[in-house]
Amino acid sequence: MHHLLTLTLLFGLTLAVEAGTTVYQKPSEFIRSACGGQVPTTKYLTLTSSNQSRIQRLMGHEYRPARVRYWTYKGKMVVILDEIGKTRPITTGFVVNGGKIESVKMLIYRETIGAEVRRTSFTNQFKGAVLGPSGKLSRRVNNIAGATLSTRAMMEMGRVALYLDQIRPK
Amino acid sequence: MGKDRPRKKGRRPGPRKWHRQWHRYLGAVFALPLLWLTVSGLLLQHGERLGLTEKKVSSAWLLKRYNQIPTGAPSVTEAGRFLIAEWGGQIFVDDRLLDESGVLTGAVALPAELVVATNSEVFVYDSQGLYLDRLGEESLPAVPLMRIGLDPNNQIHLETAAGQHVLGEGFLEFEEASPDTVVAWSTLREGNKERESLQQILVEGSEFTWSRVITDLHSGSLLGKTGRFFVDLTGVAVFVLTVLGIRLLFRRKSRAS
Repeated sequence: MHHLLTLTLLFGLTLAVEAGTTVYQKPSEFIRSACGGQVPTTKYLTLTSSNQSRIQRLMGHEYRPARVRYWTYKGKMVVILDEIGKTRPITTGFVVNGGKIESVKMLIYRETIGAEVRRTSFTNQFKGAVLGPSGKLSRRVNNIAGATLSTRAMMEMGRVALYLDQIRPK
Repeated sequence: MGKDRPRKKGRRPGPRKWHRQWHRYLGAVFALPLLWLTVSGLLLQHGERLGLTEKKVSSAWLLKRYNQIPTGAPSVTEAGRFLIAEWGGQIFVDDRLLDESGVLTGAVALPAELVVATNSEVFVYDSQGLYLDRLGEESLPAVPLMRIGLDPNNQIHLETAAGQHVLGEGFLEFEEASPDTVVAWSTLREGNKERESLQQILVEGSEFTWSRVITDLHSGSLLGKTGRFFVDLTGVAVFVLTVLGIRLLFRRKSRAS
């Protein structure tokens, strides 16, 4: 009976934590779709303090993980990044090829409003963008009304994805 | 106050008397709510000057009303020298609230790393508690994770619906584990003993400011639907009091002239 109560409590907590989370595509499926139907060997970058401070300038705040996982396929890099929109992280997949963003897909959205940034009309704006010397994206990304913070988070992640592609071992 | 016209026996009170009675009763009943609205309105107006936009709420009762402190018992486990707890999806390591969240499955400590598993992710920290890495669904054999444990070679084992897997070096790859391997699985217990200290951590780390509480006091939202209804009622009462007051004022003036 005691275990049953614990299990019920855990199940309830799971529902509470998962409430409001929408998975548009599993990260593993995104990697497969970008890497010819397979998940290549995982690699990771250990961020040095100079990498961290550069990322901090690109994002406008500290980036917490000291390692970033990525996958490579035919010269392109696939990376899954998390960034807080307003209060919860937005999980987004980026494919970077030759220093340019090839594709962007919002994978998991946990905020209550602002999920419009998942639309291809928005994510297509990132295609072909490179990281400028000033740390800005070379392409202008139009804001979505009502999703300003999510838009900002996506742009921050885009800049970081391009920077990670620059510093990864090739 | 002017004298009322003498009323004939058996006749209903005249409109002036009726107006005055209602004005008096409504004024008496809604005096306190009006005072409440006036004071909270003034506090809101000058909230920034009074520091209410910065001052954090430290009342556990208020934080519970805003669902900032979970109900129920926390889940707790020990990993090496660390005490890991989860309460309402929030994860704590010793007396620190982590930014990461999820439903805790277990935790294991390696010589240089602490590995915390939730049902959908694995978080890796160094021995100082610095966040190193996150293993999402794409880096795990399957989700949800059911158990996490360590074998005698300090290798991490994960149990999922897909079976038992062992993580390789750097947690980059995983392979199926031999069924004969002895694994010390991390187990969770109810943390009724730790509840008080976790609550204290949440209270101290609260980002809730008093301006939010005053706003909700002003709108009545702090007391739920009843509070909002009462504030609406007070608004209607102010409207009625104004109309009655104006009518009383003009009638007296017209009679005086």
